Amino acid sequence: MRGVQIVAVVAALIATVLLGIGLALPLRPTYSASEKRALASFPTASAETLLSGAYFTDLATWFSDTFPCRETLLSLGAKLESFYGPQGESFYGNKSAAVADTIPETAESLAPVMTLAATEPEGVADEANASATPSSLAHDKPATGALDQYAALVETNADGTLKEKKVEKAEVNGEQAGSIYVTNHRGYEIYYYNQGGAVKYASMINTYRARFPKCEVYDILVPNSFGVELDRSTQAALGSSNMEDAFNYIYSLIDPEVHKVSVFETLLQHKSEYIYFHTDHHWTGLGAYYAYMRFCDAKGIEPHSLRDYQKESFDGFYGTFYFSTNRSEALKQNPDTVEAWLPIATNEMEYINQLGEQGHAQIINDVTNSNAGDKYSAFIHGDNPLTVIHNPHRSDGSACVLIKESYGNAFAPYLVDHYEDVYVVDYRHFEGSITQLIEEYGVEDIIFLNNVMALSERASGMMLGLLG
Amino acid sequence: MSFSSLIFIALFLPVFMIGYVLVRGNQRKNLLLLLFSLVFYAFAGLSNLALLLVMTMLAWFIGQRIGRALRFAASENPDYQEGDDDFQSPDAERTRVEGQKRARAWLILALVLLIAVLLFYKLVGPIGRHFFPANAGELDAGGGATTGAAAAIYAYFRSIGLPLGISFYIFKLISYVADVYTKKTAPGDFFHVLLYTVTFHQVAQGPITRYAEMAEEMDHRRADAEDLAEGLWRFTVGLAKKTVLADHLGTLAETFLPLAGNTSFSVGGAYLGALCYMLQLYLDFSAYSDMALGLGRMIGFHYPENFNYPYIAVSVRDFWRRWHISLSRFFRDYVYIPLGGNRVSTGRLLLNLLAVWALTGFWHGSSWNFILWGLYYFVFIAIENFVRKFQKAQAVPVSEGSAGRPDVAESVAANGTATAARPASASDTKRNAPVSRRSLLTYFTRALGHLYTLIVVFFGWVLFRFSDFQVLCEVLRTMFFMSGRATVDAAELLTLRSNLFFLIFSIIACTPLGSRLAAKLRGFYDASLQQEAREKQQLEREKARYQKETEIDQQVQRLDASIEGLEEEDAENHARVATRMKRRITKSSEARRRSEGLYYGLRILLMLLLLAVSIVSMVGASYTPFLYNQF
Repeated sequence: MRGVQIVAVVAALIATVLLGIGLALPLRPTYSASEKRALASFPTASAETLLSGAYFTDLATWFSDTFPCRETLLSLGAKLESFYGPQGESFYGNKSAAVADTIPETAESLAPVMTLAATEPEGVADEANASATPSSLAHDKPATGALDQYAALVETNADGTLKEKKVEKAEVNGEQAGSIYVTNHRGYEIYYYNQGGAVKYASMINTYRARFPKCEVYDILVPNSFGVELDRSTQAALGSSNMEDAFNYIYSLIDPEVHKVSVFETLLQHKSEYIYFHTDHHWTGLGAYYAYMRFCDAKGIEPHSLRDYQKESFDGFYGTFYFSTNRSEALKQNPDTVEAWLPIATNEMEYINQLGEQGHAQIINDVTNSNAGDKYSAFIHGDNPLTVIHNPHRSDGSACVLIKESYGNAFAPYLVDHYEDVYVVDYRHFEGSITQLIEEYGVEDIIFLNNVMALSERASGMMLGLLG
Repeated sequence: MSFSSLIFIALFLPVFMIGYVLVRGNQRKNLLLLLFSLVFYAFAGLSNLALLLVMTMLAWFIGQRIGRALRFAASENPDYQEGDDDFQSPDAERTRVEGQKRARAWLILALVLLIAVLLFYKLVGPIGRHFFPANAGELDAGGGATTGAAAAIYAYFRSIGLPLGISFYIFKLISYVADVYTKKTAPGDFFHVLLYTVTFHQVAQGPITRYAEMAEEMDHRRADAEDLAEGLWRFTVGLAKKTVLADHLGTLAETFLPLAGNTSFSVGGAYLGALCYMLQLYLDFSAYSDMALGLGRMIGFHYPENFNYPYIAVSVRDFWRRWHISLSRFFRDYVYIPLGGNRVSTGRLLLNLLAVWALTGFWHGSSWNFILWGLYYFVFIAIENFVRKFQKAQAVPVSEGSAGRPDVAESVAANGTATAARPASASDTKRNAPVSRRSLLTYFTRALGHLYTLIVVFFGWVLFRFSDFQVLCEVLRTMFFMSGRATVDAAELLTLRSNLFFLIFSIIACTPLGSRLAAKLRGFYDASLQQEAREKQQLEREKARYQKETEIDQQVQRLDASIEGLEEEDAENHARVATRMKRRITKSSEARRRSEGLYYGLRILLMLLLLAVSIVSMVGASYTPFLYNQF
């Protein structure tokens, strides 16, 4: 047989194999565990989508999105890209977010307190009569009045350094990966300071302070691994703002009556330990423990020693950095282990999920069999709008509310042994009124735990909206 | 559907090819091709398909009319030639003029309609944006009913967008009607014209072929294993160029120099981003052309080349002979030459060039930056034209010895678009140069020519990239260190570092290095084929000689048996020579088989590798449309 004829045979083979794979419908996945999303579904036709071509576009998307062996092929693709240049240190940019403001020195005045439009006492009284299940809280609509009023304020007021409003990045929750820097098989997320966000955040804390004079307000600002583990010159070279300066400035804007739990120094001292994940943007249970120690200092209680707790660990964790760097080969070689310490009193919790359904889970969940990208949900079962933990060994009526994004998940378990009731509110998803929650359950301590990426106007607005 | 989508690679194309092989007869094959092409285009929306069908019908109908008018014109005197006007009968002359007039009227009608539709789709976006700057749906009622209706119409067309490939297929239809009018082709039936317009190989992005070229192959084409192999190879190379190189380059360009301006790119980032964009444009568009040509070749069509390594051009003129050749050819044949070409006065020449380049810019989009981009090229082309004219005027008395002349690079480039012609003439030039100092000068001019062209093209693409004028200005200011931005940025350097090999590879992919290597390899194989053939021929000749001699000998013997034959010795001799030759043939056959195995083996391996790598890239990347799909 001549060469060309062999090529023809090979061509026929290729066509058959490709067609075979393309038509292997049962092999098509429907959900991507690593990207945490349902894959495109087969479109349904309508006259309109047929005419405009949207139907066919969706069809093509479905075809490629659910291609058989998707995960394997994606990993191979990542391997291919590791040949594109010297590996080890790399930058995954998302320039649309990369606008940093300069951080001012300490503020001359405090950030303004918001007056809230929606504070009619009847509302609270009404709710007090209503059945006090968590679900009745969760379904209240948030008041938008506070947000609007704030928007007017933030442009005219503050300390005069406010700039024109910038388009915020597509981030909603302060947690989506923006620009990622990979070195030494570890991922880091770059922080760009936003003046409007800083002032609004401080103002939000002051508003809580003024709103609940009987409660103690704690504010814990948590740097991310970029600010702690990398030296300052590297940070500056990559165009990042300095987190410590940002925190100091924000704390200076906050009412002195608020307990400002500064954890930056502590984390810096422990930076050689496993306090941040390598492939994920979160801190570890250990990092949260050091923050907990500082919190105890501020509250004036004795922290438990790590040895007092029972320890669990789950390996094989690949976090957001890994997936948002398109499965960087450098990170692939450095999977994480989720280490968690069980509260002494109880490991049981109740929660309301984002669909409004009530459920029961462990505080530290077994994630041995969870997807590689999903293991951070070992802590308090992931980001639920409201989590309620009751300590059966206490009956002093002590209660706290932790207002957090997902950094708080690793922190919440340590609070359990110090209160009768711990309420954990994820401000991004909670739709009820926090005022109601605080007043109804006799909450004494309001604890804010926010990571540096959440210091945006948007996140502060959401937390303010909880006051409804 | 895009060539670089999985649904095309793993469903549409295999089904089509299998069907195509199974179906017998050219007519039925054409029908299958048409059917699949209609399905292919339907993926752009049925309303767009309807538009394409209507436009094709229009061109076909008018083509028929023009044909009839021309036949009528020739009815009285079929042998009419230019200048016969005064000699033929007044009746015949009247018929001729009347027919010509009718044909001309039909032609103008077709041009007006086709261009109007194209203009409409090109302009509806910008004009709509101008009048309804806000979201058209949210228009206040103050504008009254007319504004509301206009806004609704605008919103409708905006939702459709630019129909896929309309710039390309309208140009194809224009060239068809014009060719019928100028009798370069006979008017075709609807089937042929539709197949010409909608064939999925080129409907989305060209090349802008001519009807006569394609119609010939529609009816008479043969495709053997060689065509299939060549076509598949070409297609796979294009696929890899697009999915592996161009798409990633696009991501890099966006990282270094985002389309939405107000971000923190540095001077270095601006240059790197523009470089990535420059590479992406070529690799993306030429990949499409490779795929289109490959698809055509697989089933026996030979479409004209659309690119000839534009980034190795030695002048801007040369660049445009190598970039999007079918578009330049269109403008040359249907605008520039009808306007008089370059055999006109200087002022008129400038005007002609201006028309061509303004149109070239406008063809890419109605946004100002495209027009500016066209005019930018007009300036350089005009300058080069004058330099050439001046040099020609200077060179007339000296006539020969062009080797050392500064414009030698130019004239070498002008020698032709064929790849083979160029390096050959370049080396000729070198060989002819009498003194080394001169060849050094030639070398230097050439290098300078390359550099100048690359710089012009580079900044041309910057104009091309940014439709937003403010962003464009900011980027240009940055590039000339006038925006106060940092020179480099650590993050950008890191991105550069981790894509260093990739970028170098992409640059090499823009040069003819790969195809020269392939040609060399093919050369070895061809040489071994020739060697084998030559030796076989020699053996045949030897056999024939011996046969002849024996025959003569036998005749001689019959005539006179007394003459001694050379039987014994000669037979032995012949047997010895023949065995030696056969031995040599076995050897060279062996060598041929070896190089054939090497050639095709390497090719199959490389093809499979490219295909695998492409598919891997296609699954990972969210699908990126071809850049030229926007035009």
